Amino acid sequence: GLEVDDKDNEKSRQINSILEKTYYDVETHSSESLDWFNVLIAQTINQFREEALQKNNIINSLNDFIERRSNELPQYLDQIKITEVDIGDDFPIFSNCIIQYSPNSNNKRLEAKIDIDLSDRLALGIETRLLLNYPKPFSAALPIKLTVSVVRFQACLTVSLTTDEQFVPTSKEANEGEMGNDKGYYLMFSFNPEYRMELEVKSLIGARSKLENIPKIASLIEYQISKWFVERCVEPRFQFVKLPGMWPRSKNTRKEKTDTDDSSSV
Amino acid sequence: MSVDIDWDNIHCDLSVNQGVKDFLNSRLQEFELPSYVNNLKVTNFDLGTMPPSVVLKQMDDPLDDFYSYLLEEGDISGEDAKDKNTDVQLLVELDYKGDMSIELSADLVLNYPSPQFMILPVKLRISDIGMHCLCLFAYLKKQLFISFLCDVSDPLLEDNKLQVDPSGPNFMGKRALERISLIRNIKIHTELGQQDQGEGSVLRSVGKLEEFLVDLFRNLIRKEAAWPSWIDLDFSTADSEAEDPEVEDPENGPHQPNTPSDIKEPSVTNSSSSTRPISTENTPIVDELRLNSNISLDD
Repeated sequence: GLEVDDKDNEKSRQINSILEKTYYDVETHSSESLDWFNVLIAQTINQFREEALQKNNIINSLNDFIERRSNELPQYLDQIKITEVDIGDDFPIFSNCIIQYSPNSNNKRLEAKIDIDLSDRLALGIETRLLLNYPKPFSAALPIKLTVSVVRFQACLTVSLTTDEQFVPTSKEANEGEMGNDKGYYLMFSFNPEYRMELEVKSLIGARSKLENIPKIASLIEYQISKWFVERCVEPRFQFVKLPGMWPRSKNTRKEKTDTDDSSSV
Repeated sequence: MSVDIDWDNIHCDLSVNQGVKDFLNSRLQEFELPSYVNNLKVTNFDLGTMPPSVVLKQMDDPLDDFYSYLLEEGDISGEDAKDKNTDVQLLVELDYKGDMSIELSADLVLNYPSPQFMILPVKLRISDIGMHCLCLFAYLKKQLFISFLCDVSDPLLEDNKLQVDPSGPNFMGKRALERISLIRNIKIHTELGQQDQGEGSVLRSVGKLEEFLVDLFRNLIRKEAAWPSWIDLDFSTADSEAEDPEVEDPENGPHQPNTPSDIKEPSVTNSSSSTRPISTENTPIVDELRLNSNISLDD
């Protein structure tokens, strides 16, 4: 008991010392903008989009991926064909960042709280058929066309760096996987449950006579998406991402290309 | 048509036709036969070459009636009943003018001039069945409910314009008799021996038998599958059922010692409570389901 208390006290003492030496008072420090961060993140996203467009065929590669996984589809779904992918052209804006003690951690953990706001159109369009496999496989099929887009996302993000072992995986795979007893630092993030995600679902159902934009379809899709999201990264669930080693190593060393560079001239 | 139906694949499948035949035969056994007929049997069922047209009209949350029923049956908890997120109900317009046929055999009993005076074997053929009706398919908690609502030209629909309104006239309880019959037309043809054709009393009995069969057929649909009744297919244990190849051990009989006794079979039940006219029973579509799952395993 006493040893644990000592360890706990040591942790609080370390945290207080860090705050003191970085001139950060969690009570009085005002929130900061993250403009520099937004620029770097935007650059990264831009890079990703360029790559996606360079291959020119993000739809094809997604279709290939789906084809490879087609045996994992439920029996009532026919082959899924991707008809549209919109990777957007705007960037997320992070702002209003503060450092605080993690709630319920008894002042033993620090975290950053950041507002995030994204207004964009990230869309995925698919085409498939709902199959009736009774009385025989493929007895009847109901064609479905769907476009799901995220048009707005607003949330409060919690980020911390930790080696903490107080968190348990929510699935068995994570336990057996690389997460095991791996030492090192993890980036841990989660969204506040009061997030706002605006989705647009367009649907077209039927073979010759069609029904358009059925609200029930939209609510089925929205339910599945928010379930997926909440089960992964909304408090009290957190995402843990292992951070790579940052210690300077020669194999990670680069320098800028120049014309007068000896090694590049023949 | 909204739904593409691969009719060629279905209609020439002997097992499907056999399954329907078995189902109809088991249903027939539950009907009490009048004094002038014995041994009524379905001898052949043919789905015909023309598919029904199925048009999707609406898609909603399932009606509360289905949840109430499952609650009453103890299949779900109150908590489950509130979660309708993954449940769905389709309202479809079913139009059928196909060449489906049902062949039956029966013994016609002539009770004139004396009781059981003569027994004549007859063959009957039901065909030209026409239906154009609204039908509900609700899928919730791994159970599929199928219920015929009304004919599309039912006057009760005029104000509602083919919409499903739980408080509307189609849902006012037992108003089956006020509705236009779900079966628009049906033809019955009887064959009997050449020498009996001239007998007036024979033909009278044939006429009565034909009338009886048409009524029976209409009642089967109306009482068993028309709102406020429905057909309920339970798929909640269909997976485990499909894995069970149902090998009959000649020594131990069909019950394997390692088969858990509490496995619920996919069953068809008619909605039943004090307000519903039909009694609850497990009916042989169970066999039909099982039959077909075995066939798919063999494939």
